[in-house]
Amino acid sequence: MTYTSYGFAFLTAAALILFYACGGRFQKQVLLITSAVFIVLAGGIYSLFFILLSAGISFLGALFMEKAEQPKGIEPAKGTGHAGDPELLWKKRKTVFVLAVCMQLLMLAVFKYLNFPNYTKLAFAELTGREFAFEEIALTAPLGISFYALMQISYLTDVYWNSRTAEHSFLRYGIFSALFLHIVQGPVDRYGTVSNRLSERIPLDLTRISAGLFRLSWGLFKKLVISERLAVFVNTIYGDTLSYSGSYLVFAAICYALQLYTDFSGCMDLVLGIGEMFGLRLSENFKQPFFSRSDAEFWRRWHVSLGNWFRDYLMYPMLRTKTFRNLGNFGKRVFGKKQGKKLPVCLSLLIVWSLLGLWHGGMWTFIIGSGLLHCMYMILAQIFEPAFDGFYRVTGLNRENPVWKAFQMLRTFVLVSIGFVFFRSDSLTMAFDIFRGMGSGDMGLFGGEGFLSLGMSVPDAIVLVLGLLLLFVISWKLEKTEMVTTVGGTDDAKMPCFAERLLSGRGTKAYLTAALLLLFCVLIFGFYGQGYDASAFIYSQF
Amino acid sequence: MNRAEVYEKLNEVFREEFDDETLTVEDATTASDVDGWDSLEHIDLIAAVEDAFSVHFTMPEVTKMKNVGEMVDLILQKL
Repeated sequence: MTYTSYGFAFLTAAALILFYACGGRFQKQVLLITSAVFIVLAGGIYSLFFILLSAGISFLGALFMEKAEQPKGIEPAKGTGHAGDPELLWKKRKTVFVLAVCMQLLMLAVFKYLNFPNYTKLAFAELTGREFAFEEIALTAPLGISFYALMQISYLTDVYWNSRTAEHSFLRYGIFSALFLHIVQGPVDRYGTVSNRLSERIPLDLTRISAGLFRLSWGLFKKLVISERLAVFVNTIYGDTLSYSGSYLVFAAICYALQLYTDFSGCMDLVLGIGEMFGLRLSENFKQPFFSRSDAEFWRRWHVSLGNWFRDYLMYPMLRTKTFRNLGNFGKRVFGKKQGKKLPVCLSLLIVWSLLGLWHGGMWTFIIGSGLLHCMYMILAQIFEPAFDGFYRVTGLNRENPVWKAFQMLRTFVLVSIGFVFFRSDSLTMAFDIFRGMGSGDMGLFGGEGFLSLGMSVPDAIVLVLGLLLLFVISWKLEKTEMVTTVGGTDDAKMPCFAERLLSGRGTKAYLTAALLLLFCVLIFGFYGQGYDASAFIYSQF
Repeated sequence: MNRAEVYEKLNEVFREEFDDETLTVEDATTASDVDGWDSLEHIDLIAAVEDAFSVHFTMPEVTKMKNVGEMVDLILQKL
């Protein structure tokens, strides 16, 4: 079962009716059962088992950690080794935390990285022109393991850090762990995002439901009208890269960047829209990334919940360790205060981005395309910061000049699209062949037959262009009310919802009309139904 | 130390950290208002504030503070 299937539409509609039936008395049960049914239908009973195992470990781990907390009002008996000794309690707490996190990581590693050593050998063999054959270990990963493993670790860490209390109801914890809306491809929610709404009964609110329906329809439009059309070009060219060169390969790279965005953010609109219908505000994952003026800004706007997870649970704690602080002091002594403090930052970027790349899968195309390449961009930006400052000083260029801003956005698009070429390629050799092919100067795409030979009719291409125009207009409108902060994150729950931001103050009728119009467009122009198998959302493979 | 005194010292830390003698922060100042205050700079700033006031922020405090006002509240709590 995928998010764009009829089965999912039926399941969601049934769940929604049951959710608000009986005065909303069984809302939590409805959410949990719907999630379990979805997981079984989408990933088999096997996936449900591992999700529950993972949730059980975190749930019990958090309760143990809470138990190992020094009870308030009791005098600590430090160093005595008796029960109540804070040192002993702290050790116990730490042991439970480390064990529980290791178990989550172990499951992730077993299911996702068993082939990683062989993939690595293969990548090096291909690059050096040698032969290497291996038999892939075929182990089906449970549905959404990359996403739920991170959510479990974030919950455990929050309890360990005392930034939240342990959950005592497995019903509520189960909903967070298995929620059918974020289990397949995120967002990587924090426990509070979901649990905050589960403590009260959610009243039936037609305005909220129509606002959710509007967002869900926009997500379907992005996926089935725009992304699936772009996929036609991308699949044709990437399916036979050696037959295409020059303008075709550049065009495919541009199309793929847009395809990946409309696919992934379309899915997020769909699940966040449905979440809204159930009264849940899941984490925002996209903030118009193509308006970014630098690679670093791009990653604050693209897959936001994943970036925030790595920042809060890996990068910040790492930078606060003694080793990194000492490295910073060493850097300041050797390279001066301003440049020297970048030394630990650059090392942490290298570690974080390697793991971010690895998180996408054990393939080197991911590690480079979604990791090390961006790490390199960011480290270069850090190193050359004084040179850029000097450039602005000498030229007197206003950083807010609209033409300059547009150039920076275009440059960022090019930089991230290079990463997406790796991401889409089957191997590093294929990616390098594509880059080589791009430089051939073949301008055949613009000839009479060129564009039309890629498998798309002129009417379909016109629909695609109109769809992209609508995407631009909506993104532009959203951008005006966007909150992107560099530190601390934004409180998405306090922001007006998607529908309000687009159709401020126009209410239920406007949301419903917009939703129906979009659904009508999807019915007429969408790539779906019998005889056409809409490909699964790209990020569901991770 | 009262709030005004905390701000006096905190402004010095910010000026030193961001190399800007004219910089003045207040309760509503966020990272977006200060040129160079991004997630990469944040931890170095936190370390400088911790050293200046001899306080220690916990990890959740480091990740959740949304503006300078929240930072000052935390400093006052810890002093």
